[in-house]
Amino acid sequence: MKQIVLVALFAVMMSGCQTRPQDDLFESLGGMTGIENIVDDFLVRLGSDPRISNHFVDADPQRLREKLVEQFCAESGGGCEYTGDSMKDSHAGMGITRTDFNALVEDLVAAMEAQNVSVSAQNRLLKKLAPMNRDIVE
Amino acid sequence: MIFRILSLLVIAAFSSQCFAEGLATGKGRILATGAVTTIDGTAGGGIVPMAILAGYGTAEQHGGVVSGSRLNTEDFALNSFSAAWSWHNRVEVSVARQSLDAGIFNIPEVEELRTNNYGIKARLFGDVLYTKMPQVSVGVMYRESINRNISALSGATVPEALGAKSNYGADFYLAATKVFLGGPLGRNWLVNGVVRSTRANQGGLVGFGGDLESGRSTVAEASVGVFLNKHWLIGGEYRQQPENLTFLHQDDWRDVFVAWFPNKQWSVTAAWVDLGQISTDAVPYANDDRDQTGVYMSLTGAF
Repeated sequence: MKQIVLVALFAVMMSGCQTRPQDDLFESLGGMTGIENIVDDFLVRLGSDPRISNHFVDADPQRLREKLVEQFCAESGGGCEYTGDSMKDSHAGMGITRTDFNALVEDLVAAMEAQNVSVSAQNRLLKKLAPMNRDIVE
Repeated sequence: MIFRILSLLVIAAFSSQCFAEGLATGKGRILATGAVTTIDGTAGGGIVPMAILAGYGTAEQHGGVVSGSRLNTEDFALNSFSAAWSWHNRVEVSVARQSLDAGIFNIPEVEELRTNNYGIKARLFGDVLYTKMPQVSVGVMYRESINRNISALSGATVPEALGAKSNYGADFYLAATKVFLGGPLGRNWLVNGVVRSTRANQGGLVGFGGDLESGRSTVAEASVGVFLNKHWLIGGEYRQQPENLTFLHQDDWRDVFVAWFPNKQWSVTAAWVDLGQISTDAVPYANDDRDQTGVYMSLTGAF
């Protein structure tokens, strides 16, 4: 019984290695249009999230949208170049806690779910973005 | 006695911290990163603990869980009720009461083998989601049998009557846990390993130490799981056991499980558990060399 489960688990893992090239994440997110829709949805959620909306009151919404789209596009292999400030500089002195960061992650996941992004694409984008917590959380 | 005092201290700490300023109860961690509750009362899977601390509190918060579980095998039934609290995602304390249906041992006056478990676990470094290193914690799990001085056993305790050297003992363990985001199949994978120093027989339910080995053994435990999505985790666990008693053979424990996290308030776990052979002259009906397999169910509520 246990052996069967293990063999099945390995088969699943091995097949996972072959299914997709790494850089089709951009396509899985729906290309540029998909990313713009995710970011728009995301920004609405951030702005109305009582846990963290205070961090965004001074932000320029147009610029924030533009830079987030660039960043998601660049991170997902869509060929964009991120032209914004570094994560460290843009969040310096904001006093963002791990609790705040997790709230933001939850809003992003909710936005991706609302835009019907597959679980796999959600996870792979989060994998790209998660390391940024080091430069954002104080 | 000292552990009754310890329990009171833990409860006092709970209540005082609840009203302390600047530290609110909260659930700021991501869904499912509170894990579920082991039969011993600490955060983990069903039978293997993890480096994760109970509840959903982040570094800025505190929080905890209460949990109940039941395991039914061919010849045994084990109930467990527990509570755990964590502060600053740094330290967790836990208490658990386990009751093993002991009818099969045929000891007059004893219907259940009961143990109290008191745990403390501290996160040393790392974060299960956000660091390259796994989250690493150390823990102590102290257990004591509370079936004392049974007259039919001439004043001996039940574990002693079954050959154990001691009624109480402490496990020391080191746990490392990591969730790999976007792993194979684009899923998030949970990997967990534990090294434990223990004298426990059947997880402490049958006392500590025996004629084959009265001292400590170092054992290894592991769990692997995959999140189908953010609400569903499936996987398996393996818990190595020492061989202390001639009288009561013990095999390693293992299970396959599915855990459901509908929200941060509740989690439900179901598992198929294999405790191996528990064959002993004291358990004539369990002595037919069959594995003790069965269903495990657990419910955890978080605060």
